[in-house]
Amino acid sequence: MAEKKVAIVGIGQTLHDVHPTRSWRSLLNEAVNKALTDAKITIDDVKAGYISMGSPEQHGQEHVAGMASWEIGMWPKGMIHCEDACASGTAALRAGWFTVLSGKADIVLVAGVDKNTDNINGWEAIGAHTDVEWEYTFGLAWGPLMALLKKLHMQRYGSTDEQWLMYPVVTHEYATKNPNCNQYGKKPMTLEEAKASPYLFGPAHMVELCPFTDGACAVVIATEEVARELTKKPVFIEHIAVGSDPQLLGNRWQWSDEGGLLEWRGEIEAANECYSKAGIKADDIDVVTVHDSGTCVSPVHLENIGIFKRGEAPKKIFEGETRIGGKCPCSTHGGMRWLGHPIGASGLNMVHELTLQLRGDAEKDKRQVPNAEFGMFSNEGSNGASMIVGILKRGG
Amino acid sequence: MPSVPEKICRMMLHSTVKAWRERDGRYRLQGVVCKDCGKKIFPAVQICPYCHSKNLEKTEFASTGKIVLSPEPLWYPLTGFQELLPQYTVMIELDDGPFVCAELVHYPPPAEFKEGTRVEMAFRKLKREDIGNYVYGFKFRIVE
Repeated sequence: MAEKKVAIVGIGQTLHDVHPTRSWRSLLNEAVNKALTDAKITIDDVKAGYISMGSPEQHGQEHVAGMASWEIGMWPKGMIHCEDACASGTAALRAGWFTVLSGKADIVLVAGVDKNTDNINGWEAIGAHTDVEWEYTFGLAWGPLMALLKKLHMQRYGSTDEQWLMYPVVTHEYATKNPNCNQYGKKPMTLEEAKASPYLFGPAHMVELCPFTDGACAVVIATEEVARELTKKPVFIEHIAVGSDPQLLGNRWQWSDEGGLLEWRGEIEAANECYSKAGIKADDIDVVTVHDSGTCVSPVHLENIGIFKRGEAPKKIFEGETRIGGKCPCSTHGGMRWLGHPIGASGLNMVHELTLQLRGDAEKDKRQVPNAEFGMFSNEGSNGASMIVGILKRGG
Repeated sequence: MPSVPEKICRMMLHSTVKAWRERDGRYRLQGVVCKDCGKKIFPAVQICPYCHSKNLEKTEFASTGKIVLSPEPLWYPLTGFQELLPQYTVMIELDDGPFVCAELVHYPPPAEFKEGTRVEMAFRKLKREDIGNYVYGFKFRIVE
């Protein structure tokens, strides 16, 4: 029996910035209302809801699902909270996708939000996404992965610092064309400016790391039948797969005879599952969003999901292959580096951008990938201990 | 009325046993060896991730090894870990097999050290917890 199809019918996103006057509830409401409006439905039409918040410790509110249902008017219908570190948003989308596939609901709301700037010690709080007993307690968090990974790639494949720094340069240009990004309208950053950025975790530069940001994003998904009634431009979820790698870098190094820092088995297998289910190959992907809270990891994602050959991603990015007109434009919303990384919203931000691109709605902001049919996301939770990969397809 | 210091409201205060129960791994590099597939795993797990056997034996791994990868020193540590800067976080291969990503402590910091440099485990204070207790564990130092 052919698997049912599930479509994205509504998307909504707040401005991503520091929002000192607004709570997570306020941001969530805005994104949800925009998504419902976009889908031309009301909250009463929604049969089930999932909320992703990846870092509730930033403002101290656990059990956000219970609060959110009341706040967005879903009450007495409840929501379920999905937390998968930085991959929380796509984890929630996968749960929503399963719910529609199961036939238990024909319209599902998936909403993500985080309020990173409520915590003046935010860097420490997201350290809770590492192995707290064996990494965070030892003072290790994100720096070692980014630094070791980039250095290993440079040693093994001869990639250069300049090549790696082109990723934030390219995505900044996209960010200047995204009205929901606080870089909108600014002058694009040059490679020389990126090269002047100091090391944060050498050889990873400060310019390669995302800022703390507040924001929310929401997506409405529905059965194909409902989607055909609601919109002329549905975007279908072809598949969403989840993979995993050891959280501890030592374990990852050990299982793979040194390759594990660069060849992420969980991500590779999840991507292959997606290609198999969608019946396409990596070369068929027209636009991609990969995890780029640290852009010094993103080229490796592009290699793991097969967009570029092993060891070539930094060079290809430097040559312009992720710009519009290149082989595969990447993170055309500015990515997490420039849009920001409100953890729970970030995965859905990737889906939001791909939906815009596949609908052809990014044209108005002059960052449209022409005639995009297939979009792919690869969303990383923690050091890749959670990897959620999915393929979307333009409907018609 | 006796003067009582005003209490500070804190949502989370870790108990001391939380750190204490991890002492075997943190103080002595105790992990496990899978008696079915022979893999050496650190820190200890309850099921072998390679062959899924539960036939595991606790083992204290070598406290010596060599650096296999070392990035630039890190100047922006987590809060509570700023005492000794910069931090050198390196990948170490222990002499009997497992790999550990750990902080290198060697003061004054060496001007230059290369991959392949010999190291040994050093017992050090890791951090002070929010209730005031100290947490200890392994770091590594260069063997002269």
